[in-house]
Order: sequence, then C-alpha cells, then structure tokens
Amino acid sequence: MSYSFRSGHKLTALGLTLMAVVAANCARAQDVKQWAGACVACHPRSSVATSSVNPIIWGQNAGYVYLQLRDFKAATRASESDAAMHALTRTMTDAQMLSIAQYVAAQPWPALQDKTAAGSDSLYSRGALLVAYGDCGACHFNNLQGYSVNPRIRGQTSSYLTTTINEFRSGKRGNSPGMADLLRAYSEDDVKALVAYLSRAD
Amino acid sequence: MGIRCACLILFAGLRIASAHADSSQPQPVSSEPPGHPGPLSQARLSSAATSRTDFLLTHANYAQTRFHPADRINRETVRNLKLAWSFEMDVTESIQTAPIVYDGVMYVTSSFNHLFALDASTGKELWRYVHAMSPTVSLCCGPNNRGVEVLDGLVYMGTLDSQLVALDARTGAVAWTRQVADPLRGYSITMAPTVVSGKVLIGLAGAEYGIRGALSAFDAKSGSAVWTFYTTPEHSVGVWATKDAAGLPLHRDIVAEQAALAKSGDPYKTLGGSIWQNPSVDLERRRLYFVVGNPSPDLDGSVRPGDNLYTDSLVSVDLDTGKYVCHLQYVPHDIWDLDAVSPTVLTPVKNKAGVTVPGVIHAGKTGYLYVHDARDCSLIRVSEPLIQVQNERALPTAEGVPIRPGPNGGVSASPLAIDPREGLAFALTTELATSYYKGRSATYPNGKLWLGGAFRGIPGEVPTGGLLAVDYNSGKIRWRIKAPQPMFGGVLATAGGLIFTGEANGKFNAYDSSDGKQLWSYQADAGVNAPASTYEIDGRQYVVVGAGGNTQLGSKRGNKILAFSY
Repeated sequence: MSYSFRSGHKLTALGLTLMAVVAANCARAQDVKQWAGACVACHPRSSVATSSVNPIIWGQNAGYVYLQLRDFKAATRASESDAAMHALTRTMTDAQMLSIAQYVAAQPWPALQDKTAAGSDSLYSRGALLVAYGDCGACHFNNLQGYSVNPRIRGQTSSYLTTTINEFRSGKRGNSPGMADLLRAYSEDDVKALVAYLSRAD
Repeated sequence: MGIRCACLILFAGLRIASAHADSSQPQPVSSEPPGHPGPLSQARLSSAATSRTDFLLTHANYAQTRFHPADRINRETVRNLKLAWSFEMDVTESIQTAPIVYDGVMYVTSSFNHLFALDASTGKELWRYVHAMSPTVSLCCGPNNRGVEVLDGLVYMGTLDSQLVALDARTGAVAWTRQVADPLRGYSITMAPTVVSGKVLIGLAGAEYGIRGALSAFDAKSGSAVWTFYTTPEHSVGVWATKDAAGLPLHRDIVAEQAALAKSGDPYKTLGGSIWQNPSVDLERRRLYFVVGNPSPDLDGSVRPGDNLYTDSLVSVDLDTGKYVCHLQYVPHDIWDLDAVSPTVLTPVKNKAGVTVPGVIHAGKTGYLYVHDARDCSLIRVSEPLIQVQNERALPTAEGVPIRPGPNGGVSASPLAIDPREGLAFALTTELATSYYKGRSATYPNGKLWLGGAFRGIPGEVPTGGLLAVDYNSGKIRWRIKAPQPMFGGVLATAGGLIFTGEANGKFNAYDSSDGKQLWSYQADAGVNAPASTYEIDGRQYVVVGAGGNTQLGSKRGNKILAFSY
C-alpha cells in the first residue's frame, strides 16, 4: 500500500496539497458519506493487513474518533505521522467531526488478515498476562472493546499499535498523558507482547 | 477463555442497549401496571431505619448503616432460602445497583443507566427507562451505576454523562433533567442520588481527568440548583501535613511544593476530589457527612502543591446551605490513588474516654477503618490494619515499587454494614500488591486521562480478599474470613443476626454476624459484586441482589437481579 501516512515517512508537499484539496471538497459537500469516502483511501473497510500502519477506524467508538479528529485539528495529536490527519481535519467543524465519528462508529469492524503475523504463541500468552495484570480492562472494558472516548484496542493492526504505543512512550503522541504514563511502565519487549496479544483478534 | 465468553455476552447486551438508546422514553410493559406505589413521603424516608417492609434508601437509612430490622430470615431459617425470582436486564455489564423497594415496587439499574421498575414480589417488569448517553463519556473503573432514590412520586438517577434525571415513579415518564457538569471535561456520575428535605443531592466523579469535584443540591420538584459545595476549596493547601491520619510518614518534599505553589498558585481548579457514594444525613443536626476521592493527577504531587484539601477526606457540610462544617483528611497530598470511597456510617461510638458520642465511620482504600466524633470530624481511633500492608506511603520510583494496598484498596467503593447492637462494622477488602512507577509531570490535559505516573499489577501476585468484622469501639478485628478473590460489592446486615454479601466467583452468601460462620450460599452465573437489599411483602421476607460481575475486577459479567425467599 502506498497510503502509508502513518509510517513515519515525511509526506511530500504534493501529498499534503492533495489531502488539503480532498478536505476542502468534503467540507463544501458537508456530507458525512463523502468524508467517509476520503477515509477509505487509507482505512480500508474490509480485510485489513495487520502490517497496515493506518489504524482500523470502522466500528471504533464514536467518542474516541471524535476526540482524535478534534485533536488532529488542534494539533494536540501531532506526531510526524499525523500530518495527513491534521490537513484533513483543518476545515472541519465540531458538528462535522461528531457526525463523522458517529457514522464511523456505526460501521462494522473489519477483519484483520494474517492475525498471527505479529508474534509467536508465547509472545501472545505473555501479552495476555500483561493485559490482565495491567488492569487494561478497567478503562478498555470487556475484551478491550473500549467505550465512548476509550478506544477498542483488541483486533487493531499490529503496525499501528506498535507505532502509537511507542509514540505515547516517547511523548510524540501527547493527547493522552495518562496513557503515556501507563505505557512508560512497560519495556520494549513488553510492548511486543502487548501488540502480539492485541492484534490477534478472535 | 473465561474473559472471552463473558465478552460475547457483553456485546449481546450492548447491542440491545444501543437499539434502545435512540429514545429516552419509558417503555411500559402494560398499560395497567400492577404496582401502585404511593408517593413516598419524607416522613417515611426519615423513619427508614425502622421499616421492616421497605428498603427506602441506598444504604438502608440516612445513617447508612445497611442494618435492616427484618428478621424472618434469621440464623435458623436462612438455610431454607431459595431463589424466588430473577429478572434479566438488557445490559450485560457490571451491576452495582442497590435495589430500592417500597409499596411492593422495586427500582434497579444496570450499567449505562438503564432503570427498571419491577414488581418486588414477582420480578415482573413494570416499566424501564433507557438513558440516551452522550457519545463522549470519560469513565474510571467501569460504566457503573449504583442505583436510584425516590421522593414524593419521583425517582432520581445520576448518569454517566453527568445528568440528573427525575422520572415519574409510577410510569417512568421524564419529569425533568439537569446537566450537572460537562462529560467532555471528564465529569461523570456513578453514585445514587440522596433525596432529603425537598432536595436531591448528587456528587461528581472524574478525578482521573482533572475535574473539580462537587456535591450539589437540586430542588427535587423543579431541578433548580440550590447549593454546590466544591470538594476542592480555593485554598486547598492546608497545613503541610507530614503524616497521614494513621500516623504514617508521607515523605513529602515540602520545600519543592512551596516553590511550585509560589510559581503556579493553588491547584484547586483541576484538583479532582470525586464523590462516588452517598452522603450520610443527620436530620437532627441538619448535617451531611461524606468522603472525597483522590486528587488529580493521581500519582504526581509535584503539580499540585499542598495537602490538596479536601481530597481523601471526611467532610461535613450543612444540609440546608452546603456550608462547610468540618473535615478530617486521611491522606494529605496523596500520590497513591488512596481515595476515600466507601460511604460513611453514622452511629453512636465510644470515644477515647469510653463515653458514647455521635460517631462517623469510614473504611478506607488505605486498609484502615476510621472512627470519628461526628460533632467536629475529629478522629477517635484508627483500626488495626484490615489487610496485609507493604511499603505503605513509599514514594514511587522509575523502576516501580510494590505497595499494598494498591489503587483498588483496601476497602474500595463497597459499603459497610454495621450491627449497632454488637458494635461491629462489616467490611469487604482486597489484598493485592501493585507496582507504582514515577511519571513525568504533565500539564492539565483538558479532560483527558491524567495520572502523572503508573501503577501496574505484578505478574504472579494473585489478588485475594476478605470479609471482616471490626469492633468500632476498640478498633480490633473480631473475625475475618479470607476469600480467594477480591471482595467487592457491599454488605447487608439484618436483625436476623445475618450478613449477606457476594463474591466475584458468583457466590452469594449469608453469614452469622457474630462469628462469620457461613450459613447459606447460592451460586449465581456471574460475579455478585453489588450490595444486597431486603424487604417484606405479605409477611414474606426477601433478599435481593444483582449478579452482573464487575468491570474493574474482571469478574464474569451477567445481567440478573436475583430475589431470594422461603
């Protein structure tokens, strides 16, 4: 896939311009489904590769999607890989962001391809243990499906999880300091185990 | 595997919930409901402690003793107790509701603020109300609701998205709603309201998100605001305490705190101070007593210099005006998430001289039971530790330091029951060491999770729990039962010489209150992590409890209200 906006590579000037054009067109259309069309370019609706650096958004909790759009726009979520989302959200109104979030949340969560690619069974088991002892379910709820402003994290792509967890840990992703604090208590090996567990959906 | 199974049930529940969530209208099951509850007057609520037939307030009565005078079910007859009926709610998630029963009608709630009126003798649904939830709700510890209270024909519920809703007790029709605080800034409500003297009292939670906590009174008929008491006053610094209420050193860097105070001022606006449970009401002295939760951010004190009043404190205010009366802080400048959570109990206690005085009891996440003189909040005694303790009040480190109790306590939100005849308080505990990690200082993140550090379970550490009877006139433990899992939910004591409580493994048990001997047990199909109620109809006594498991414990989820009788 060439739409690797979250890969950490710097976007070209052309890429950013294109994104701005898409954003402007959609803003004029004020149509949630048209916005969703722009989303699909990077966030496929089905059969997502676990190596995808772009997260699964379809079926994600509305409150979480809304807050991320808000934070992309305000650049409070602004690591290098978030530049595309900043460009896309720049012209969005608050009401549009909420409408988009509610539409996105109402869609089915896509299946992940190659579920076991992220790690061995032993890594998966270790991840399960870390999740249980980390009390992740207190906020991400049963089977880590999240609720409202807390995201579903089970069944997410392994590449995205690795990127965003490490961005939390390094401080590059600054829009949830509490989550960053929690993740800093884990080692690099722990992160691999967490990702192996979280990305292997049932 | 167990977690996975429970989760499938959860999502079945949530889908149904979302189907109902399009409308906040009540959905009556029949046009002629069999229940005809009267208006429930203040006079009846005021005498709740002597009513054998009803269970009128969240913790049984305004003193919150959770001691009920019904005694048909007693140490002799309890062995005959059988399931009388069960009711399945449309949400399969944590249940913490304290069932309210009067005139043969029961009111219970599920997670996500679904409210059900049931025929208390059959479990038949009379009506339900499904709250249409804001899409942006920030929660600590699960989508819980702890129940409702009723006054003069209206039933009141606080919601996760920080609304207060009043409904017609006979039909479920909405009478009024008030937005108490902004959920987008991390405010939520999980407690049951307390209704008294024409007012509805509700507290806010959200100290994991940098809220400014408050207890507010609203006019019960109109919903208009009467008074607000902020749990973090404009002068929150206090006395620069170096020890906590149990006498443990706090290891504070007060010089650094004073420098931070000079630089950035009093932190009261984002200092947290949740209220998770109902206040006790002293109608004679017109006072409220309640406890306040942890400061924000939970684990980093450097950005909130001072004692952080009135976090982790017992507070008393005037019932009619909300004006401050007195307080006592259990853990000044808390950096361990040692909320004061379990609801206060008012009962006469012996002071240090052996003289009986009006008292207040609270059991803390700290693992101690505190006994106060109600007149000035002063501390009479601290019990012996209710749990095994380790590295108490140690400072978190970069590598992590194991501390017990951890952030789940001790005694968490579970209400105590007392038997005033015996001078015993019954408490549920968690035994678990947790690693605390020092974090980076972050500025207030505008309603996002704000911890300032991390806590993390220690692989291999198996959490357990206990049920204890504490003599509150001496501070000594009378008896203790060890449990294989953390004990969370609440206790009911009755004049039948029994106490009832549940376990995360689905057991619901009755014990002899004098020695803790288990006399009866029922195996539910989900964790019993809710407080029980009891009542009588036509000379028959019932005990009722929710079996829904618990989000934070991870106990198996369910959706049932279970009523037992013989």
